[in-house]
Amino acid sequence: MKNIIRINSCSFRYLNAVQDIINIKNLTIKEGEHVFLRGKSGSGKSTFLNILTGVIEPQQGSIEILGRDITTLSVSQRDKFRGDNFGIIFQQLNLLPYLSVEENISLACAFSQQKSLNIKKEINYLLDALEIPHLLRVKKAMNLSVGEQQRVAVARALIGKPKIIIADEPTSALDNDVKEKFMELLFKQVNAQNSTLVFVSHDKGLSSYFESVYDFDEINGVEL
Amino acid sequence: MRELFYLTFKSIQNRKITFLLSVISIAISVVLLLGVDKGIKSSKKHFINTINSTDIIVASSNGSLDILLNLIFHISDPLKEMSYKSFEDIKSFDEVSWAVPLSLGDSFKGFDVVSTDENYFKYYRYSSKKFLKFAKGRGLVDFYDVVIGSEVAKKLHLKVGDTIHLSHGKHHHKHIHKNRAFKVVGVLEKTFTPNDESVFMQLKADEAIHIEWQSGHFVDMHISSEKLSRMDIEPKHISGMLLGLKNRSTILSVEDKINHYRGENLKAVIPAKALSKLYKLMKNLQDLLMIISSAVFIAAIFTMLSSMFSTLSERRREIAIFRSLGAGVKTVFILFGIESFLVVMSGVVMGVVLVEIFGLFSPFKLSLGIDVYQFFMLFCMVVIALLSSLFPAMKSYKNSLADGLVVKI
Repeated sequence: MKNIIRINSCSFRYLNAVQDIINIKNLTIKEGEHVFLRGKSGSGKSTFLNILTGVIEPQQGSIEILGRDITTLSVSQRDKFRGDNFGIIFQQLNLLPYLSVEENISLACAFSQQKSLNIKKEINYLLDALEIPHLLRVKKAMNLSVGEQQRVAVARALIGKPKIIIADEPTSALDNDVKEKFMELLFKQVNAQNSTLVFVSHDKGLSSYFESVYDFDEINGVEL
Repeated sequence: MRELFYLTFKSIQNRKITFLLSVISIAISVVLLLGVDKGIKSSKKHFINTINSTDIIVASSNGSLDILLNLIFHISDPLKEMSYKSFEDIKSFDEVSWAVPLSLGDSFKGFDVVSTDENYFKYYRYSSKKFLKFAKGRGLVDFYDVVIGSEVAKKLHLKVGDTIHLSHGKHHHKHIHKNRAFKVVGVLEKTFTPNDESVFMQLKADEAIHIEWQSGHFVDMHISSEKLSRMDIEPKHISGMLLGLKNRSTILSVEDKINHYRGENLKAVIPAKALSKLYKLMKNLQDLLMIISSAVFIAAIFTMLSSMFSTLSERRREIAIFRSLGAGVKTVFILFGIESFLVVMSGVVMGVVLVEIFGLFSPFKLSLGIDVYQFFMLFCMVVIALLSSLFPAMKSYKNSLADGLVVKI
């Protein structure tokens, strides 16, 4: 299988900081792979996700995604690249509370033309697949439960079939029974779209879902 | 861009009240700025249109503004009187083409009584050299004739042929010339000048009916109206006079001649000069009002900014979501720009509509529409609002750079 992400001797240091927060010698993720990155908060996970998605630029190293080194792209090219090729799910508050469920999902297409095709049909398909009842779909996001909001966030991340799905602690605000259901639905759809999944969490219990499990501290070779 | 407009619209809908308050405060400042400008402009026009083609106004007072305000606009305190002899003397100057005496002081149900002669209607001009015209009837001919302005006719429901009793002095309910009935013989067309609110009578009749008044009290001399009209009482004093010259080039020498008149202390006022003095006074007032209105506008901008700043922490999430979906950091500038644009445009539209409605229904005769200067003023307001939205946008931009995709609050 092809490599979809390849990071080489990448390091990053915040302005005025005394040492690097990120220093990754080598990380390779294959197309369609499901990767679990385990890490505590404060370990530089957020910075790593910002670098991986092109929000910030490392001082050294290369980040090759889908065959392109994104460190060579301009800021706005990276923004476009992110919009086209990533689907991102956060821990919580993924949705704009004053927009309806459907509007929140189509938001993904506001910033990516590539994702804009067949949007209406796809929204319905995803909402069905993620078991969001019809009644909820036109409601404002603020009226949804946390579990429902996270599933809508998955729908938005998956819409337009981006190649890479990033999930940053998407289950930490969920109860255990809801969590299981969430993981099940997430995996079903990620597999259906053949997307690569990078899942970041401190919850070891979830690692059994994944074929590749890494400890973030081992990948990131900095002493904190 | 269209999506961002929609998003801003939705986001505003979510906080209607603060948005509305910002819009209203902008609208109030637009009403003030526009209203002051329109008000001043229309009163300037009103002033300039009141008198035309009169070369010199003469009265026995030192203040040219007082003379103008009293004789032409019928405001300000009564003037020191000048003698009728001086009037006749000046009238006979070689340079003078026409002269009209004016005497003010009496009133009729709150309207000013102007004592003059038939020449007033022949020579008084206003606006762009327009003459006074009679809507009904004719000018002053007989002793007990009166001519009334259009507003007098309208408000008091008077018409040609009606009989009226004038009052002595300004208190119309107190001293009424009960024994002297006057007949309305003419109604003037509307002019938008103080003539509309005036009652005109013969100067000689004015003089005659006052012979029965001694130091403010009525002393009945049992003279019939018929007899009084035949007594041929020569006026002794008038408030002032209007002069037209044969040749306008002599205006300065005539002015000088009157100012150095031997018989009594007289003042020659050139209306155009006195009017420009009036403008200067108004300009000061205008500047002051404009400063106050601008301060209100600045307060309105602060209202808008404070409502924007209060949404900043909420916005951090929003921006992080947009960024995760591929939006650039510049998006925050667009979002704040759109918001302040919507606030100020709604405020401007609301303000302009209010001013126009006010202009349509108010008695102040404000001009409708917006002139180039006013458009520029509104344009500046929009620009200032957009520029000031850079402050919250800048703050949000910094937050967004620090946050990246992961907001830590």
